[in-house]
Amino acid sequence: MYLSSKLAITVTCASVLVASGLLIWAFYHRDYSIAYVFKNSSNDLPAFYTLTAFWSSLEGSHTLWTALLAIMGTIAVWTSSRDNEHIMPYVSASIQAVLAWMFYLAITHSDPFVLNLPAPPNGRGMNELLQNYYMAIHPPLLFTGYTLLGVPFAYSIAALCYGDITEGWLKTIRRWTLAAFIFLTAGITLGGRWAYVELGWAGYWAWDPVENSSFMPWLLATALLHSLLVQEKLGHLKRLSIVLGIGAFFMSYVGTFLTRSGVVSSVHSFAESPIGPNYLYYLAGTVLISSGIYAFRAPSILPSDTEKVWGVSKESALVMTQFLLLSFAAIVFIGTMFPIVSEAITGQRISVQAPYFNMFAPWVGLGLILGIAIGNLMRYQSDKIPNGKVIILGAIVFAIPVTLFLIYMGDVMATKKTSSLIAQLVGLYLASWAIGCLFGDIYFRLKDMRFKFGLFFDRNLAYFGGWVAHIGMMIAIIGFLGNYRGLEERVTVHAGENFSFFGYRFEFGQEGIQVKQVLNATHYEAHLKIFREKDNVMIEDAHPAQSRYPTKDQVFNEIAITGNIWHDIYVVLVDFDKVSGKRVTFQVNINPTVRIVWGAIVLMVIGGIIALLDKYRGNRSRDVVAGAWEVNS
Amino acid sequence: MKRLRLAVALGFMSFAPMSAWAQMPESHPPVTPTTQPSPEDLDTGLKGLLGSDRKDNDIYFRDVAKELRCPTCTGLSVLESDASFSVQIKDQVHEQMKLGKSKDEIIKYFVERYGPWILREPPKEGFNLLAWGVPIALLIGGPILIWLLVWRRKVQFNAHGVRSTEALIKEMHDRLLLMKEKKG
Repeated sequence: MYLSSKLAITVTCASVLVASGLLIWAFYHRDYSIAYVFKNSSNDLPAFYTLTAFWSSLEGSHTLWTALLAIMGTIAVWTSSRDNEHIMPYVSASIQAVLAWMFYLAITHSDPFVLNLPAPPNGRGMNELLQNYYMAIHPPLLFTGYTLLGVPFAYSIAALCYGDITEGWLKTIRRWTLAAFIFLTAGITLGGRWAYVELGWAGYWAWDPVENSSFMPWLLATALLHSLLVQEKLGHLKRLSIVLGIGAFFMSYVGTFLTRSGVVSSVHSFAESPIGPNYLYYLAGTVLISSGIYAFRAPSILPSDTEKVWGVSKESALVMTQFLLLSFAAIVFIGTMFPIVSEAITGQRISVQAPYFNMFAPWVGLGLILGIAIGNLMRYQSDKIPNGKVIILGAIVFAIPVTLFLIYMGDVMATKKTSSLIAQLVGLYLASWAIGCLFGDIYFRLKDMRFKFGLFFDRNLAYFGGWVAHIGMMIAIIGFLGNYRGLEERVTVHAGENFSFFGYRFEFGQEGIQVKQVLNATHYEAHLKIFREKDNVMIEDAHPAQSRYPTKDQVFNEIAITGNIWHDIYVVLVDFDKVSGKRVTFQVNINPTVRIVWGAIVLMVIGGIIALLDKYRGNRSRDVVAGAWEVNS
Repeated sequence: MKRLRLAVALGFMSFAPMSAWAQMPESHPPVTPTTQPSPEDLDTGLKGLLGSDRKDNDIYFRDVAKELRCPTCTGLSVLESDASFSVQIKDQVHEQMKLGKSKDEIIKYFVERYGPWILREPPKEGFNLLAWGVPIALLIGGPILIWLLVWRRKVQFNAHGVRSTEALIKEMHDRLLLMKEKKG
């Protein structure tokens, strides 16, 4: 019976992979007799993009979702530890239930293999905005993240059904959630990079519904990681972990619903698209079933044996962190859904965009900085912070030169044009202070082990991974603050003229606009040499351009980005004289600390990977480790 | 410990008005463009191509334009967008500015024409207050609620830091009840 359930999910996985393979094959051979290929490909599409066209639209991305979920399910079932054997039937049943719904969609509303006969000679072409390297890797990464969350979801449901949580449960769910965290972080960031290099508005995060819907599962998964930490050490927050495990996966479905049904961008397309209401039924059903199981079965999950000593302690700090993450998720959710609710109730159309979220985000960020700085220093079940005074006061002093350095290098005084200076300075100071606290923390921990690095890293990889990720988070906050600043200038010049901006000289070439064929697109390029005025060194021969694709009568921006780690020079070719090509309008943005954000997020991902490598937590679920959990269980 | 908690709470509370002040828009001095206008530009009165003017750099204009949404894109203001609809709205903002209207008057003009939808955040009135009130209530009320429900729940200790007998007996009693429930 058990083996047959394993085999069943394996066969499911194999069949979905065959289906995906067929679709890719159809794309590769440009088989326009399949409607989906016809809509998303064309003869002039480069070979590389024929592959990515697979997930460029509704049906294909559903297939990818299904395939990835089936793969995750199969891995989860075959790699389950002996500890979890008793709950595996529930696990595979939960995953199969989700898969069943995806298959229902695939055969009713988003069939990727609808025929389109007779086969037309050319397709309609893939969405031009998606013809970008980042768009090729970012959706699969995000989907991998979403579907990885399917396993914690299945384990949560299984724990409820079985009525108990074992040690293996915790380790397995931690491993999968960490993996999901890594993939979601990378996927969201690459999505941001895509927006940055492709859309031409000099930012990477606009709080639009698509971005929000990928951010909410991330927030819940991160909260789950922190609740698992308390559960591992003390055995508390079991039910919260279960709720978060269900919630994180549910949110990734909400995200798919929001982006795929078109509810948010226009309320009216809701009724027209048959997939929208279907998603809604499914989401409502999931909530109903999950909360039903929870309501009936949660009392059977026994509370922990350890004492609940909350007060001022590390577990309290972790609870606060989770509160902040969850309330941030709630705010993002409210902001994303409010236009729909408002229109349904009052009939008035309103927009909720960046200014709304930017009102609350700094407060959550402030709470997170304090929580990370102080919380990492705290100890479980103790209100004493070892070396607390030294670390916190030391960090207060340490932060002063760091902040001054950041102000000087980040050109805060010169680029504050659009933001408030005091919020910037406070934010920079607090983030540097938190970094100081984190360094103090690791210093004293190493000192406690007499700087035996081998021993420390052997035993504390999970701590070290978290430490790296938190440092990354703080550096990211420093980077985000930079993006609240920035300068923008629009300049209209003739060929051969030059202009100066922010200590750079831009020389627009004599030859004006040049036409160039790049793959399937026609580029209208301006050659703009950028010199540093200080020492007259040419730092970049930039080619901002507008591109035109054969399948659509619309121009797209090809942005030139250069600069250094402290600021990006972001040049958009806004417009040009179509007759002579000698008169051009450029938009030049100075975007401070964008590269710092990318670097910081790489650090967060590395931190996640380090934490995943920990031998004692997660990887070998039957390892016995001395600690509060094992003593009590 | 109580004193520490009080200090933390006071710190938080004093931080709130400070940052509220920090959020307030500064009065921007007019900035002289760093670029040297070419003779042709002066001739045509700063007019660029397709509405993308030099005067888009004007800080007052930017202040107004960043509060209006681009009707055809998701998540962007008209300032950040060069879609044809956004360019039209930007031109209208310039016109209104020429009439000498203040920022509030211009925004009011757009709300009357396009409805509150044109604003990037819901107006703080009527039903929309919910969108503003719930997050604020959550961020302020949440910690208080956690404190009341979780942190205050104290375990009784005796003088040696060991749990009191009453607490232990009560706990075992509860545990027994739970086990009975599970069996029955």
